[in-house]
Amino acid sequence: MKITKRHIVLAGLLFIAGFGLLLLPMQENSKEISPEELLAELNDDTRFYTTDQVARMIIDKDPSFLLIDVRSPEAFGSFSLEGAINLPFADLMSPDALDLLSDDTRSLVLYSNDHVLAEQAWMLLRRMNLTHIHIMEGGLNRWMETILMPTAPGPAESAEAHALYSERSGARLYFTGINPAGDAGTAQATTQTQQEKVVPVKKARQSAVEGGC
Amino acid sequence: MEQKTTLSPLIYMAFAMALIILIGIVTLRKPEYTFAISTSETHALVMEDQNSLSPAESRAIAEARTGGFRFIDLRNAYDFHQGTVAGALNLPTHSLLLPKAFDQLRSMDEEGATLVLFGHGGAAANGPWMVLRQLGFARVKVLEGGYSAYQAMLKDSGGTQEFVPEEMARYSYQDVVDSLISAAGQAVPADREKVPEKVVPVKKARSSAVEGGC
Repeated sequence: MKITKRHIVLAGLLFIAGFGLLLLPMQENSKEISPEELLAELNDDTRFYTTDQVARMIIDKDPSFLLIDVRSPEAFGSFSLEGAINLPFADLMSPDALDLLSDDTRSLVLYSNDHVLAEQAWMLLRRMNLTHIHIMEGGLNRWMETILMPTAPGPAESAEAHALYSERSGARLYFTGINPAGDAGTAQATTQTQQEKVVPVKKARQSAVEGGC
Repeated sequence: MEQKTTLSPLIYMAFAMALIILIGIVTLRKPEYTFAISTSETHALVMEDQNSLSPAESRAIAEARTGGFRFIDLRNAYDFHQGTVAGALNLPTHSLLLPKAFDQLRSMDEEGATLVLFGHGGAAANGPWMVLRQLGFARVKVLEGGYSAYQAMLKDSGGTQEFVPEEMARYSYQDVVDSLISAAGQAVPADREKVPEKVVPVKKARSSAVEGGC
């Protein structure tokens, strides 16, 4: 069969279209969000959870959240939050870590001593378009200040301040088993909660990642 | 001869289509800003320890008007006019990528200046700093503690207060618990060491990717 002009034209057309397809994925870079979007996210405080919200999640053993400590293993070993897992910032980009982080069946709450390190991790993950990642505002320093050492409001302060204080005192009792302002009756309750508290939250993690019918 | 008459419209069509495809490729979503470095490069960069200046270092630079540094105040104009670092330029966080502000940043960067970002607290400049680093700005730093720490240092003429960087643990859990116990006037419970104990390993999640259903 003779090669006519028509064949050449059609072949050329296919070639051009194929070349176009080759260029497409290079421009698109579909997974990541744009710098403008990333900057706009910074004006949106919904990425933060307060220490009070996190305390509530732990006390309720809320299975839809997973706490992630991004500090070093040493810091994690000396103190961390109940049920948290340790994912040091240095390991954030490892395949294991990214596997865990991209599982969006649960909200992840990152924290460090303040929220700077946690937010740096969040920025990287947000750029990868992961939307279920949050940060504990103020980190463990604020945790200590608000949950473990809440300051009592004065008599003239609002009812909300008093409600918050009583909530925090309850949380402190839960987390430390100590009630500094308590009388003998609450001291009794203290020992009870302390025994209860040792139950690890470990279980919740395994169920969410396992497949099943 | 008769073949030629059927061929010519086909050629025109082919050219028209090729043209459309080319135009499509060229005009296809050309973003105004693109990340200059990848996420893993950014990750490595964040872990370097030359990313910030302490309030004292910043003050020395600002007051001596050391060349090569530009302070960028990320707060809003209201706060900026209430007081700021000497010589600072006001570019609120949300405006950083607007053409006017970005051109200013770009030209300062091209002059070789190091940009020092600050907001209210130390964490406020962290996000904008990461955005600029990822856009390819190589000389950007954060003022540790933000303007509040800077202001506290200016007021503290005796130099009695020491600045504590954000990510430093300010409390020891054991001390907190001990002080609570002494406040409660209780005997120290013998099992209090149990509290920080946490042995939850991360490893599990990986295997889930390959685990199927039934």
